[in-house]
Amino acid sequence: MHLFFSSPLYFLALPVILIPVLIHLLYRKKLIKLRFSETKYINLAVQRSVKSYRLRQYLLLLLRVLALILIILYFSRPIMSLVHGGKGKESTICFLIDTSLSMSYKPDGVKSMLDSAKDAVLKIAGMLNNDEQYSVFSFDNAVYRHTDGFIKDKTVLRDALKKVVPSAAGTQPGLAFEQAYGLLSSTSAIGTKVIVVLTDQCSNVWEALRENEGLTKIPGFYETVRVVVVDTLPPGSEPKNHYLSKTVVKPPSTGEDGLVDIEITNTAGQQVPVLTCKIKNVGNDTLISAGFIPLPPKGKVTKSLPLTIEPGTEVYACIQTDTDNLMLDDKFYTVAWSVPSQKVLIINGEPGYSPVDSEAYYFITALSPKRDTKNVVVDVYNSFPEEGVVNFAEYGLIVLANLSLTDTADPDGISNTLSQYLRKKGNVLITLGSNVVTEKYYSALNPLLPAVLGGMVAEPVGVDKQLLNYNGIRIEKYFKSSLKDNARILLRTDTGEPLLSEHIPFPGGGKVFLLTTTLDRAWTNFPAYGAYVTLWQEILRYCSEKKVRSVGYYPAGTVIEVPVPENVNKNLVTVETIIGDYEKSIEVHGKNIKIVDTRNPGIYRVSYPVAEHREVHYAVVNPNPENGESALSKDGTTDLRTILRLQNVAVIQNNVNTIDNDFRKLLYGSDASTGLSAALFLILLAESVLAGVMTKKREDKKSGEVIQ
Amino acid sequence: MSLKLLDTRVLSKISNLALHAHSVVEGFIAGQHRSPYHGWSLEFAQHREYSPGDEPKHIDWKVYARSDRYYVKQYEEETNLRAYVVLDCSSSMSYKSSDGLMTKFEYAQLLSAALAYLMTVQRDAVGAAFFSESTNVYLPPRNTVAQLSLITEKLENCKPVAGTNLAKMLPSILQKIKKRGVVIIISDLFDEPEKLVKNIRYFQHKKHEVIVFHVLDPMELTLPEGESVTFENIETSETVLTEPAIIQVEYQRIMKEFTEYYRKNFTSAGIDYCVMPTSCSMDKALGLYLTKRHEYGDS
Repeated sequence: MHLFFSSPLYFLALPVILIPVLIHLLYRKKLIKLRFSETKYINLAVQRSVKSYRLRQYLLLLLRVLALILIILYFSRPIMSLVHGGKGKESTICFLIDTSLSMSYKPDGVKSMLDSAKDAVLKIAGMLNNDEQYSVFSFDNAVYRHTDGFIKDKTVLRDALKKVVPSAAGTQPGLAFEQAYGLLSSTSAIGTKVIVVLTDQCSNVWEALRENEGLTKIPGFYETVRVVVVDTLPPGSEPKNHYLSKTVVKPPSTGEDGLVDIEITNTAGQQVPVLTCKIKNVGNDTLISAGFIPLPPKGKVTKSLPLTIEPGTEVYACIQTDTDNLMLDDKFYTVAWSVPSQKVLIINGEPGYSPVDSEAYYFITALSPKRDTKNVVVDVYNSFPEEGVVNFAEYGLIVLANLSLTDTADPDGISNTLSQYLRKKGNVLITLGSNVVTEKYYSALNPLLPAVLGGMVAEPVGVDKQLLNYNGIRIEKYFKSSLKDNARILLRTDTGEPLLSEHIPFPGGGKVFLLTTTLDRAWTNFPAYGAYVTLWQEILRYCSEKKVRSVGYYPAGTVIEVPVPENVNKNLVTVETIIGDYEKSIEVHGKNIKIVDTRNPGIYRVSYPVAEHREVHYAVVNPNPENGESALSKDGTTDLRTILRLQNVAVIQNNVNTIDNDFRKLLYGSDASTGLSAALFLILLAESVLAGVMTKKREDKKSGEVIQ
Repeated sequence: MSLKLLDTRVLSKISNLALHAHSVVEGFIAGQHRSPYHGWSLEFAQHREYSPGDEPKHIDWKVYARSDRYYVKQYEEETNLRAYVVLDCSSSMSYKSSDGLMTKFEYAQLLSAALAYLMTVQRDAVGAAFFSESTNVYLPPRNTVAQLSLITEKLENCKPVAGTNLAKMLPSILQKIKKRGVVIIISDLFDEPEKLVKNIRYFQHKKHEVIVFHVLDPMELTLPEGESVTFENIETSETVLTEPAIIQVEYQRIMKEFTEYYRKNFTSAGIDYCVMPTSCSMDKALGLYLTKRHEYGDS
């Protein structure tokens, strides 16, 4: 382990530790002489008291000197590195610069974020030793290499950076990571290998690092590479929010109180579908959700918003990216954890478009917001599976998400299967959507539905009551329905139409829920509200009583062993995680399947064919607390950043505009300041306790009773 | 103004010891229920009408002859109680703290005089012994006013002398006291405690009733303030450099042990022991004497 200091100049202050020593040595108290009747007893008291008093004095001196040393150490910013090998083992760095369209955005109106990123690269390179080497990549949806291998020359670096120009494309960092990793792997340098990513789309980077781009599947990636993400957004902005423009609120155009026009300019020109627009810096810097605003790639849009904002107020409008649309505040993680152990089958009617936009995605996210809950296991099928392929009985809830029955060969078969399932106390949640043809649903599923379906209505309505204090839930489209006699309404529109209803079609059997809208953004803004998460979890809790079959829990990095019957063809055994197949890490030993590579926390699904269906085992891998830090928060959930930190990925500490010596700790190691602060606190506590004890003794003796 | 209310602060400003003693005792008596001890002795006090139970020998027949009524004669009580005041004249008794009003010796002188006065008022025979290296005063007990004057005069002339060892002196004092009585020892007891206890208990062994007044300056119990102090022993000139702030708690504990040692040993031997800080009124001492005298009379 190596220790170095970001601000070693503070060591010049070390002589201050002599101050308490000098005070201790040189301080002379005023000496007086007193005649006294009997000194024998004074001598005795001196013998008994002085030894412990001196000991306390020396201890106090030691604590004070230690406190001063710790204060100096704290300011000198010590950084502990497990990887930096010193001379001959210098860092090798790949700079990945995001050149997507959004990087052209000029937060201050003068300098684009891309230019800031380039300046940051030069600044970081300036902090490196002469022996340390680096290369430059830029990326949007593709990757561009700007240096020939690694360079050490700053002039060459400047020339390379000149070639980095903005593009009109999006941000896909995965490929850039792979190429950078390939280059880093090819070098024989022994020191730290670092990938520095400069981007305004940090959430994309998180996703790429975690799962989407398969980096976790590259053996040794996290063991050999340290990733530092530098945010190019202005300081103070959250990584997931993208400020589009500053605007001045105009006086109400409609004449109605509280309805103001707000003009938003998409200066970044991002071609992303806008889910919500938020207004920041209103009042006490609060975020006010302004609802859905379709934003053209370029140009302005004016929206009348029902907000009470003083005309003339400067506000910032920002959009949220797709992946963050659930507004998952910390408080909802607890809710997520409170879902009982359950296994859910989602039959998704919107396959293939994007995993992020699918109904299944919303459900998975609602039931396990960070996909790390131990309690809920979700299986997704894109069409109704045949009996035998899936053992329906093992699921506590089956969700038919905007499922089309028009291209299904045997709708009656589906109905029969679901009926059998419901009779066995299974539960079904049906959400409607653009794929739903009313007549088809009516003919196939009518006996099961809690309401008689009518036609689709494209008239915006609200929800009849606040859902967990969330206002503004709007339903743009929904299906009209009339409730059956034995059904009841759980949630209505503000026009009184059933929105969510339930009934029990078979006495003693399970429940059927019907949501007459879908989670598609064109239908409702519901998924943008935190209440959405809570609601689905409540439904799950309400409807399901079945437990997940034997789920094993393992710390990350340990080998998972799954027993397999002898007659199973081992070649047909698969292991899947949320990131996809995992066949490389499977070893079959006799009766056991061993999953060797389990460094990534998550749910591992082991399946193998038995008769006409696949037997499935689940193993939940939690971050390894023995790795030095537990990634599990108090409520049992895992923070994405904590997982990444465990995996050697530096958490964003510095903004591109504030890169300083602290940046070295992102490159080389962890900051020891927290430990120092704790030690300093303990020492000061001990010092004050000791000093307090000594003062109290002095006070005690002053109030000592006179012997009568 | 009641004389009882005179405190040592006022008394310290009065130079005449006899006057001090008078003030102290009168002040003390003024607060007591005045009930002289009446009995049948030589000195006539008054007549009282005869009542059944009175011995006929006490009937005053002359009065009967004159008045044809039975009266008995009453006399002032006269006891054969002898009290000895033994005063420690060691140089440690000359200590007075910076905010003290009188030295321990001055306080002891006044206490001795007050006790002698009280004894005289009570018609007890009072004697005194003041011993030091240079002084050797022994006044056998008498119950005359002249004796009181003599005692106060000797007290006024007595001075604390270095090198005086009370423990050593006590056996010689005991030799001089021929008849049993109440021995009142007034000292700061800064000597070898075991030896002192042994020698004082010897008085008890010789059938004397003993009262020990332990005179201490308040500062001797608490220790004077000061950041860094060199304490010089009055008697031996030995010095100790220390910080009272550091040792004060321990010193107070030691002094408590010191007084508790005497209290325990004296009490177990039936000796009355009373700590008398020089800031305290002397009523306590005078009261203790009267109690002792009463017990002695009963015995």
